[in-house]
Amino acid sequence: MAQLSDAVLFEYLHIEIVGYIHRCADENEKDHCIAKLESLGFRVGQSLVERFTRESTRFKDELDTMKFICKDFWNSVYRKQIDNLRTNHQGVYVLQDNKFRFLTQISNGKQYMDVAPKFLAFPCGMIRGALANLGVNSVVTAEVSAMPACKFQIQIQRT
Amino acid sequence: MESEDEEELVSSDDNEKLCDRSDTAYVTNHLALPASCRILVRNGTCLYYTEWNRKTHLSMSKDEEFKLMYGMIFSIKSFVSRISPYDLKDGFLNFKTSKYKLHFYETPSGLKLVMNTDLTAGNIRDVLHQIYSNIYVEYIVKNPMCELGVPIKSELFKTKLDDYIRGLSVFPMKLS
Repeated sequence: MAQLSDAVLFEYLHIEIVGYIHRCADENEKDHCIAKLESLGFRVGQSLVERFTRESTRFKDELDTMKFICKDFWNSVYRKQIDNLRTNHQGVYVLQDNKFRFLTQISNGKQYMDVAPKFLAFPCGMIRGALANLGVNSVVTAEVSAMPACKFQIQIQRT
Repeated sequence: MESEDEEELVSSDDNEKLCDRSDTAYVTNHLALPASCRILVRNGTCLYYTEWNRKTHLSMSKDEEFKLMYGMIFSIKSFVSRISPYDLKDGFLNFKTSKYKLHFYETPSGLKLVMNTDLTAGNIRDVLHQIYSNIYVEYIVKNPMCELGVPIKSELFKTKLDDYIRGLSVFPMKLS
């Protein structure tokens, strides 16, 4: 029961953060809102992953890291796992979540789809932050084709 | 058994911004059991109205109907609490005519749910409570796109509510 109420707190807080950032932005700064949310998520993801991997060993390779994100990380944050992970083995991974937590209450189809990106910026940042702290530099984007399913595309940056 | 005519009170007003919790969200379902469902908001604005089996329609407009409904609920509530010979536990629950029964449920936050059913329905306070906690709270309160106190536009809410009501055992199978 305590776990359930924690999750609701996080969801409400996230909704409010998104609303706040958008309200506080001036007209010509609207585009920065998504970027701000993403960087907020980045910092949170970094810290979260420190905590979650306290007890575990180092990851063997990139794929292992990705699996960790899909299973343990997603489980701890959203109480479910990623439904589908695809990769082209050349540094691009696509994570598909068929019932993304932040979207399930908004709509079940096409309604409100245009506002979905606002609520995906923070999760994208979280993934990027988590990966960064595990030693993987990446660019994360999200797309929604039908609520509440969404896909996160991770592109590994190799220098 | 179907009632011969069911009246439905439904109204949907535009809601105004609420500053104090006196609005009623008014959801009335007329179950043909359910026949109509209304959600009233505290200041009398109707957040949502839907009907399933309504047989007759009143001659007044929806707005008037809602205002009438709100006024009636308000008066009955206060009347019931004043005239009660004992300490009130729940207050006004429902009223019955020879043709239909009107059920009422109010949440601590001032949201009023009203449902009209036919006479075979028992106490559906639980149903209204479920509608509030599992459907309204889940899909409206937790939806960042839905402001509280504003008429409900979420398709998801409509679908879930409809599914829930149709899934109830009191709902007749042959409902169109």
